[in-house]
Amino acid sequence: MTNEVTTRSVSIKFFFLMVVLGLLGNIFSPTLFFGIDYLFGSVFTMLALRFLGWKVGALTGLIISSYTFYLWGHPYAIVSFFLEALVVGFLVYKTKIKDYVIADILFWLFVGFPVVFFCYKNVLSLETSVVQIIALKQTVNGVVNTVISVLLYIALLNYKHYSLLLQALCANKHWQLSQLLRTLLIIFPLIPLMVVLIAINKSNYESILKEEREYISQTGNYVEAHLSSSINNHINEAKYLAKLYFDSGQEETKNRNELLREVNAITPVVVAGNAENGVEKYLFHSDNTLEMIQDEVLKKLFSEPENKLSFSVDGKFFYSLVDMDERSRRVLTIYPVEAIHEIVNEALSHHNAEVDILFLSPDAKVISLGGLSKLSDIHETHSIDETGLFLEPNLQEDLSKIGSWNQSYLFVDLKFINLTDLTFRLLQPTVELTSKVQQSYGDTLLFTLVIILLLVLMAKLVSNKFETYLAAWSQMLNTLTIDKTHSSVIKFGHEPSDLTPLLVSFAHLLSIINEEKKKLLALNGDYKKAARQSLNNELYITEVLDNINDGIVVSDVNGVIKSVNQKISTIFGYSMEELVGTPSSTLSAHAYKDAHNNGIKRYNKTQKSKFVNHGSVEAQGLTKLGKTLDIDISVSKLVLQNEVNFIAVIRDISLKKEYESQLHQANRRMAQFLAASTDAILFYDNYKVVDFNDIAIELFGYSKAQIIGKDIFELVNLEDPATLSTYIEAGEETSIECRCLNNSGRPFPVELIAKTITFENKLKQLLIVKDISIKKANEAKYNAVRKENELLIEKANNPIFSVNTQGDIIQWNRSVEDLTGWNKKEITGINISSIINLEPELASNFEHFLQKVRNTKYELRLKSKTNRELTILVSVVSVDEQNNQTVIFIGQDITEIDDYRKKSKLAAKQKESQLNTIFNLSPDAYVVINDVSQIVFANPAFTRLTGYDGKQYTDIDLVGFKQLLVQNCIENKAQLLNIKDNEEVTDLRFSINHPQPVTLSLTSKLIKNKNATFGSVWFLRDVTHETKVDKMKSEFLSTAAHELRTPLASILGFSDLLLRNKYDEVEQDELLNIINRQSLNLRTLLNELLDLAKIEANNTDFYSMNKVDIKDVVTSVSTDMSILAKEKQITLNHNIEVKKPAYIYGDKEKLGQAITNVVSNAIKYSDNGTTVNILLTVGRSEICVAVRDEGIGMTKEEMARVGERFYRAEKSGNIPGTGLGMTIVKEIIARHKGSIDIDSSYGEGSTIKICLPTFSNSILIKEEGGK
Amino acid sequence: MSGNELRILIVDDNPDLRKLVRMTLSYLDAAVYEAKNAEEALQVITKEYPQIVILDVMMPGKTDGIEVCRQIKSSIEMKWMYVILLSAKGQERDIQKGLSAICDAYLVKPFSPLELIGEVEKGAHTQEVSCAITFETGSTII
Repeated sequence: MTNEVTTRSVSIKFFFLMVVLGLLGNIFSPTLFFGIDYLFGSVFTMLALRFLGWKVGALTGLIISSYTFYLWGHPYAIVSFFLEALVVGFLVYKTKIKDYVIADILFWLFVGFPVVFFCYKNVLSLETSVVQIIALKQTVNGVVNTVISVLLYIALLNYKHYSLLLQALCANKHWQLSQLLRTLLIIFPLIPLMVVLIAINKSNYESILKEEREYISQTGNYVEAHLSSSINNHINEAKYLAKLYFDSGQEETKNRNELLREVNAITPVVVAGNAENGVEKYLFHSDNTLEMIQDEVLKKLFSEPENKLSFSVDGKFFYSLVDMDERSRRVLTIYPVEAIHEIVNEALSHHNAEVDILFLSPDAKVISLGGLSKLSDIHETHSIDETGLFLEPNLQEDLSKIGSWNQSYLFVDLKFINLTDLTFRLLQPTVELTSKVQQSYGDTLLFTLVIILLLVLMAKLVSNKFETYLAAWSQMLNTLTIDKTHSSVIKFGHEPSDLTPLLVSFAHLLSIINEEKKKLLALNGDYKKAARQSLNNELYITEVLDNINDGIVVSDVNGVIKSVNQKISTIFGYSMEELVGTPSSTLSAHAYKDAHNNGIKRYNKTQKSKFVNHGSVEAQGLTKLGKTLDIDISVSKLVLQNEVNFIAVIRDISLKKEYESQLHQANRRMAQFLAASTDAILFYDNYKVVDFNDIAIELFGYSKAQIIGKDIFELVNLEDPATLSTYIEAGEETSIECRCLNNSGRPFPVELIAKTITFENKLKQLLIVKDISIKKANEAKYNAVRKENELLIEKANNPIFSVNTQGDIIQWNRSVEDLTGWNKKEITGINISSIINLEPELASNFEHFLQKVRNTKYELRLKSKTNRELTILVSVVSVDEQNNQTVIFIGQDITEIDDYRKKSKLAAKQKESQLNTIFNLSPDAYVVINDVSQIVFANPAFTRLTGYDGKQYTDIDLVGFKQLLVQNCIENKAQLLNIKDNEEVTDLRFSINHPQPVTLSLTSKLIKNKNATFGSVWFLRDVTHETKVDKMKSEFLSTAAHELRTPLASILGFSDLLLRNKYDEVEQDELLNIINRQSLNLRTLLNELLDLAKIEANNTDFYSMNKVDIKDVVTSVSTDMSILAKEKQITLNHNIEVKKPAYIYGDKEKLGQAITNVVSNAIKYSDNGTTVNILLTVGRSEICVAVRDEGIGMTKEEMARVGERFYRAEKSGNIPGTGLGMTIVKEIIARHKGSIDIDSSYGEGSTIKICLPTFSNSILIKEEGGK
Repeated sequence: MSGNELRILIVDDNPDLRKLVRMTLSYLDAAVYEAKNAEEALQVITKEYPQIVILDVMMPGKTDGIEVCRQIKSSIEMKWMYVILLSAKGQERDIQKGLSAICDAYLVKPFSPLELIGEVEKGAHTQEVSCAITFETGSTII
């Protein structure tokens, strides 16, 4: 009783302690970052649960968590923490889960998280990322608190003073140190991980914060710029307006009204005046504003020029600007703050800035709120906290009323835009910031947390399971030794697991088996001997059975096969192992299976059967492959070891059956044969008729009864009786013809065949008698006709001859005699292949040849007797006569025609090859198209130009060909596509890019005569070069035009100015200099153009050749070019190695021009500050001038093209030049019989070396008549 | 910043021509800025915000006058500027090209000073900036 009371009072005290501590834990909750609190309350909830039981613990949780309502303003945190207490308590007390941490994790994973999600997202309508963070935080909060509570619990237990007290309350058993360690180890990774995550997030948060500040700062700059420019514009407009009013004197100008409208939109007051008189004119005013603003105020505003002021009247704030124009007029504009507001808003919306603005008065009172969010709904004034992080509670209240929960506003940066005392600041709601961080980390955190929780769970479970397994194994090991202790319980600190009893009995079983085995081993010896004996007997019997030629099946009383012999396997295809144990009906064919089974059953019931012990019957079996088999089966009863068995002997009678059916068929066939024959057939034995058919009766005129037994000699009454017997005795089986006398004595022709056949295994003699009277008559007719034909053929004018199937000549008429010169007598019997020329493959096989030409017309080439070649057009006909095949050739001499044909073919071929040669030579492409739009010819140039080879184009028609062209066409595709089939085109230009980029000119012409079109010819000419040159020329012209106009513009302009104005002497000189300089430029340009013209005309007259010292030339060029070089700060060096003169034979002026061009190029294409070197070297036969620069250089391709007319390398695009400079140089040097060497690397510089023959050398060359 | 004066920018690689334009425009009550290539031009534009820009079409470097005109016209802060293109190419095709870049006016070299002034005046008018032109001979044109 005392204990109970003590316990109870302790409980109550404990309860209150927990509540108080819990509430304190919630009140003094630290903030982690971005507004998330960490509450310690649930630590004490867990302790209360542990010591005070489930219900009280839950109640404690409810009370402790109620503070959150005050903290956050909603009851949903209470819901989640209360549920936590409830569910964890339930799990710990009512289920098998003893571990608080696991229970808590389970709760948060499956209940807490979803509940929080639902409440915060659906009920409070927060953003998903926010809710994620909050749920996450609560989960972590809860779990870590539970862990802390466990640690506290353990600490308490080990503190002896309290343990005694708490034991009275304790519901659970001891905790050991090992368990404590385990728990800590499992939880250990969680804490540092969370710390690390928090740290990372903090830095992330800070970086985002920095980003935000920068963004706002930029926005601020922009807004500031926009605002000041807008305001400045307005004041300018106002000044202009004032000017219009005062200076122009007219009140109704269009401009002014427009301006007014604009100004009006922004400022309600525009006033003009000056310092002395004050306001002179109200350029614009709105009455409201003006009423509010009194004259004194206006005067004051006017008093100081260029003033910017803000002031308030009756609580409304204004901003004013005063400015002076050049005539000392003052213009005043007054803006209400809303106007400024609007301007700023405009700027923000242009910039798409998501910020809010606070306008502050000089004493930091908020005048108005603006920007793009909900702040503008609030118009009250509030004070701002200078430290910047949070607004005053009042404003916060109002902000929260707008409908967002707990949005704290963050002054990310303070931006003053000073309109003299009017400042405004840019804000951004923290939650925007938060959501940015959350979005980036919310998911990761969530994921990480879930993983951690699951790991913890798993670790706990695994550690439990692991212990259990260890216990089980050690137990098993124990029972397998000789020791008989089955039921040892191993103390592991908690109850034995459920697996133990099973393992115990298993071990027991093992020991029993072992004992039995030992017994068996003892008996083994005797058993083996007996077994060996029986095995031998078995083998003997098996061998006997296997050698019997019939199959034997032994089955038991139910028909299940016990054994079979080898023959059964052979017959049925099953192996012996397969059959043993199967029912014997397996071997029966489907039709017999039921009868089989029924029979067995009936026998077992009645001991009676038709089959057992009744001899053999015919039946059908079924092989393994499903084939039905005819078998002979006899079944007997067999009693073995007091058991009834059936023994069946099976014989395969399928072959026998086959023979029987074959015999049957043969008989039938004979009967059919006899009936069907149209000839008389007589079977005789010993020369007496034994059998006959119906025709025999008809033919010989005897009745059935009369014929049987008749002597055949009598029956077959031949005119010459001896013939028959001779024939039969001869034994030959060929037919003979003879004449027979019928019943009435009339002779008729017959054909006899005597045969001996084997029938029913006996030899039978038969005689076939055929009435051939009709046949004979036909033969006679035929012969008559044939004779007629022969005569005709002989007399015919056409060459006709015939051969047999081997090719031997049978007939040879007169005409062919005359033609070939071969006489009938000498040619008959000769094989025709000896005189005809056949194609090799036909010559080898004459029959094959005959088959080929049968019933066709064929050009046969013959050799005449005089070895002349003849050609005969023959029709070949084959005729069957009396089993001989004759092939008749009826011909027509076409020798002459053939000759003519050959000649014209040859001529055509020659012509063709001539044309081909011409076409192959042509560099332009020709394509011939026939009347059905197919391409029939294309020359090699075509292949080269378009890339299509011969094989390709013969397969395609015109449409396909056009498509192929269009595919590769890069210019003028449309026109190409539009060409119609029968259209003639002239010079249609287009470009293709495959195989090379070329521009082609297409001309097409139709091939036709008066009546029809036979096709067309397409002619493609490569005009790439032409087009390019044209293009270059026109580019040159346009460049030239530009180059000429530029100096002209200066000349004209400056001279114009000089005419219009008076300038002082210095300026005048300067301008005149410019005019002079540009005129000189113009002259140079014109000269270059003229040189070009001369080059074109290739005029040699204007060279005057002399002995020239090249040193002078180089020196003077260098001097001339030094000015140009100086302009670009280029160092121009000329280096002359030799003291004595370097004479060459040439035109001094032209050489000077050439070297000037080269040096000028070097300077033009070099950057400022680089060096150009001119080096003169003198050799024995050559003198060289090398100009080296450090300029833009040339690529290999560009180098190759230097000197091409109008050619300018790509990079030189914006450096003036005509592209003629080097052309001129080349021309001049060529005239001087010199050479130019160009060396350049792209981007590094170029060296151009001009070499000329020395004077002495040139004279020699000249005397020898030039190179 | 007093904002009502006329600011003009001339962009041409030829210093003589720049001088010519400057001297021609010296009779206007305007501030004249110079630039010798596209890059400089853009720098000056974003610094001084001239209302009128005179561009030579042919200029060294990557960008020519037409490109600069395009850039100006496609930028929000610059598109209100009045652009006059100067060129020595008088061919039809180039005039088309110039117009298509949405420049506001086109002059062909050589041009007379009056032509230039006329275009500048037109430009100033559309910019609503007062433009007083006085020649030493005494005539004043507003």
